[in-house]
Amino acid sequence: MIQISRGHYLASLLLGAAFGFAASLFESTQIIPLLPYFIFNNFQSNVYTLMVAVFLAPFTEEIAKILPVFFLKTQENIELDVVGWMKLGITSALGFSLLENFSYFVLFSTFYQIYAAIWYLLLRFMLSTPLHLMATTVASYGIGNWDNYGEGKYLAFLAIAMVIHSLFNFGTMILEF
Amino acid sequence: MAFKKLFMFLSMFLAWLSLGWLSSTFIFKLAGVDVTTQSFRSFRFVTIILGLCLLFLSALFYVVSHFIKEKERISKFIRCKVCGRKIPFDMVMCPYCFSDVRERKNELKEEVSGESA
Repeated sequence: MIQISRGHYLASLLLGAAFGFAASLFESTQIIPLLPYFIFNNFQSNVYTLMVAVFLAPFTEEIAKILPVFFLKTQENIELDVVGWMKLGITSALGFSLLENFSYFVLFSTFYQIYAAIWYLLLRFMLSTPLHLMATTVASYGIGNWDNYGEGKYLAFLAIAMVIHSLFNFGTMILEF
Repeated sequence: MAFKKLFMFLSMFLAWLSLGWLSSTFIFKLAGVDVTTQSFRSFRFVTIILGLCLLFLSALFYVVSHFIKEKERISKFIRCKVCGRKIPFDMVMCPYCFSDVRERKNELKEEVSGESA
């Protein structure tokens, strides 16, 4: 068995970004099953945004941020205790969040001036990044306990992380961020 | 140990998040983006209250992480000496490499009896 090294943290960071990209692709394809609904309801984009932000994104993203740690554990045969799970999970979430922030920065810079986009990037770094790290810490604590002690009840922490993420997204929608 | 660390991490991220909420409307203003809510002042009031609540929660988590006590937990799994895979502690043979794990069990038994003596 191998102990966690710096290389594993770097791999987790990059894998977090890669899995984040895959998650965003998955989320964007989920409009297809909803197309009939939108066609018959005059395309209410608010409903789609609500469904993605409050239901789909938390579910997909929380799983996408945990998968890199699973991947590393199985492929590299790393010895992971619960704290190790949390540390690698946080690194993965950081990679995920950095890629997400960068993609929003690119999107925002096409609509607004570059200095506004930079401020917007800072805002995302102050709001979105800690949320991702926090949710993944909770999720990885549960998964780590389940992996180390075989107690399935700890999987509830993954659901708690999804609820935290969902509430945050809902709150930002209510405040019209 | 892990639960303590969980609270420490959460405290840290909550403090970061609270700073984000406290500074959000100021960053909006610096960016020159039109705030779409009807009253910018009430919007700022909400974000500041939210930021302060999160800051309080962060401080609470930090204090709790210092006072929390955890029992040492025993894993229900052992590692196979040959292949290193995780197997249930009551296995006689490793289901992956078919190596004998009784030796390992005897070692554990000796450790336990040595401690009790």
